[in-house]
Amino acid sequence: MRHHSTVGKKERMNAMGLDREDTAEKFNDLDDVMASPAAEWKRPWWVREVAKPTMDIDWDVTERFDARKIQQVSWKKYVGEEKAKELGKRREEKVRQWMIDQKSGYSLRDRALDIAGAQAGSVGTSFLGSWAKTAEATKGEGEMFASDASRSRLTDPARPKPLSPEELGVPRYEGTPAENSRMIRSALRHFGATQVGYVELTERNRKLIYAEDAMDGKRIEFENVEKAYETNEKRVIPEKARWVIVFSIQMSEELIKRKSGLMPSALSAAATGAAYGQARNAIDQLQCFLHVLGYQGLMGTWFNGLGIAPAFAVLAGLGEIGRINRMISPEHGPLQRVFKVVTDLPLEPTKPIDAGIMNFCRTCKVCAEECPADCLSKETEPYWEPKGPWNNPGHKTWYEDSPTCRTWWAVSTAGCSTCFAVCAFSKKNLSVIHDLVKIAIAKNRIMPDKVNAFFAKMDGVFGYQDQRNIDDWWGMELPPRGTKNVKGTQLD
Amino acid sequence: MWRFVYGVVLGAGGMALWDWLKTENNTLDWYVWPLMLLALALGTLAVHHFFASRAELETKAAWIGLVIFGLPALLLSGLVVSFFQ
Ligand code: SF4
Ligand code: SF4
Repeated sequence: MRHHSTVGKKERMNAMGLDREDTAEKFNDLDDVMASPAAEWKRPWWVREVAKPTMDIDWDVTERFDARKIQQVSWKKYVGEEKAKELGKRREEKVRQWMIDQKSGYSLRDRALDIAGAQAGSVGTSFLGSWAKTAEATKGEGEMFASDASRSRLTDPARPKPLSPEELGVPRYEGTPAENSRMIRSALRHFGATQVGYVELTERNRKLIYAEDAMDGKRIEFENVEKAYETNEKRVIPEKARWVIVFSIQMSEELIKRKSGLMPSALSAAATGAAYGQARNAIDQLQCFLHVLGYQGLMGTWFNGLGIAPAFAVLAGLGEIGRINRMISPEHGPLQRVFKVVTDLPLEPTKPIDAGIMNFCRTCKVCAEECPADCLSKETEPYWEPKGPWNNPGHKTWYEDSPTCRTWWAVSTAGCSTCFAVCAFSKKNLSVIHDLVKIAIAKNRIMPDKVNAFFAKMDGVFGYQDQRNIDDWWGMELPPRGTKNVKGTQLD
Repeated sequence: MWRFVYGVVLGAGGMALWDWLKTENNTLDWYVWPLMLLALALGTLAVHHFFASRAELETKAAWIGLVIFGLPALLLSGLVVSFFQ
């Protein structure tokens, strides 16, 4: 059953003096708006939708991955407890000393910005939504949609529980997969997302959902149940939750480039931290939105979520895999962080894309040359062999040396993203020259390797990889979030 | 705004050229036209890139682009003008 938004429209419009025929003719209801061509995701014309990602995948080799193996969780194991302890101690000393010295990019205000963006905010991520542990919904007096909104959000860890359609006494929302996809994109954009795509889970690509949670090691399982649930040992995704909403949050290019030479600063790290902070809220808002519509939105207990981010981003066509072994999109390059929510709301999958990005990475190598810890591959061709247990095998990419990367974070005292900052696709995209280069990268068939290598060289000549003055950032008047991201939207 | 100004300048230039071709009964060899278009495209790119790069806070890219695209545009323009003699 479909619920159009026309109920009582005429009457309402009459009452408001808005019964002009031309208004009513254009869009009969919300569904018409969603189906209008303007509602589609506008990609640049040179971005080609393809049946298979540009990265080769061998699903037989791919395994459900234990998320605890990633470097953020298991770094100490990979480098050895003793060494990790020693590095941690030295890091602490440096952090404190540099604050006292007011070292550019590492002063107290730089650290404060990084910590606040990454750690503060209203919620943490959770499997079922931040309100899930709140006891039964008890409506506050005069409240319609939230249960007991009088409960202080600041002092009470149990958050107000949004009412489901059942509790509201109305049928749940129904729409076609295409309408739902459009709706989620609009909602997520409103919550702060940059790019949104969808993957339909199959027996094969389900392998990209983690086998064990990164934080508490709980098993993540699929069961033929109506509702997702959680016990002390496992988190259960219902079989009917077959869609993954994949979205990104853009990072500030101006901020991420405020590194200290090749060394990350606390200030450049703040670009990443803020994206994660914003994502936690966007994810919780999305989970709540789905709940109010009558559907489930499932997330991991940590920002890394329930599945492998670059893999889902590639399958959803947000971008292609790059030498940094992360997703690079034609519109925003690697300057975004990727998040995923599993849902039972039927969605129309978006297709993988080919914009020549992975091919460009074969000859570019700028990130690998600039990586201060030398942990990115300089091989021209991608390969199947993982570098260690922190990589999930089964796809052909440039596997990275993650523990060495993480060690560098400890040595430099800040989360590194130098490879993101220097990437040839990390641009503000105001000059048309960037589009011309990207068109050539996607379409040129005349000596493509030589032409691409020339572009990578010119990127340096034009100064795009140059060091920016760190302290100047504090005097700049930048747009919200430090990004200008109307590109590809109707406001472009 | 800048697109409007550019449109006005381009329109005025086009009209002046049209006038010149008609009133003085002059003609241009066929190869002058592609050269003129190329000079125009490069000149436009140089000016656009300069201002867009300034907006991107990429000062070095702005100046290098101005030289790389602007110089050939100037040379080509000089060549094209010589055909009008
Ligand atoms: S984040 Fe890691 S891979 Fe990237 S430049 Fe820094 S150390 Fe190298
Ligand atoms: S810097 Fe070059 S090689 Fe590295 S990810 Fe970006 S485009 Fe690819």
